[in-house]
Amino acid sequence: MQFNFEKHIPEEEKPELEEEKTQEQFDAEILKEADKLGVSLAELQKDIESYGGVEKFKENFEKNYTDGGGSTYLQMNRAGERVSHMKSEERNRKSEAKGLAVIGGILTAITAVMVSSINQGGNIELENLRHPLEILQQEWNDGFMGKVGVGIVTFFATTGVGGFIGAIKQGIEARRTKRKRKTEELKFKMTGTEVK
Amino acid sequence: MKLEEVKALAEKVKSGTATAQEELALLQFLNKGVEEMRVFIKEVMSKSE
Repeated sequence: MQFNFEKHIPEEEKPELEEEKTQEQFDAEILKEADKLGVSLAELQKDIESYGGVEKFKENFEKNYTDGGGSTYLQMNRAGERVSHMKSEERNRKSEAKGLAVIGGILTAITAVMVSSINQGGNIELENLRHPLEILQQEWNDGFMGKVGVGIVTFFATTGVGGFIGAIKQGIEARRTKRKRKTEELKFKMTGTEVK
Repeated sequence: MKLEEVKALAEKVKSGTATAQEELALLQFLNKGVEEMRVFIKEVMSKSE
């Protein structure tokens, strides 16, 4: 028998329920986004391959976006060093700053999703990927942004997307179940009735 | 989304305290970021040509 939960909840407590309804929709969207991420990462890998591979990225990046010694223009500016600004270099600096900012955000976000998934599901495949990402995060924090740029491209180019996304989805499911359980406990406290 | 906001969301997801909405926001950022990264990679790769 389906229990009509809303009927038994006082008006002032209904926002909780509406939130829960929306949460279900969020959960469905989360899984959709994870699938989308799988497709995007697979396309990213194809791109890297078709443009000439990680080595070419490394070579081009170091040649055009760094001072030749591994420092990016961004770091040189932070250190207060003077950089001669030809027009093309100016454009490179801007695009590099934007590109590296995106990469920094991706690194932070993907590490968080992965660590959380490991904590929830204890997946071995993800555990093996954790260390390289944590090293990249440390290098990013230390200011070696150019190096991290190359590192993250290498990471995505060489990581099996299917297994990676599958493991992340396991974590998502675990978090979803945990949230659902919490909501059900709340419902039980509010009504004293077990909800199916 | 600013990097600081990403960091704050990331911390919540990492500690398991994020709501479904926050987790979704982080994944959406990730997807958008990967698309932007593809553009950047293409730009870098085409430099020597």
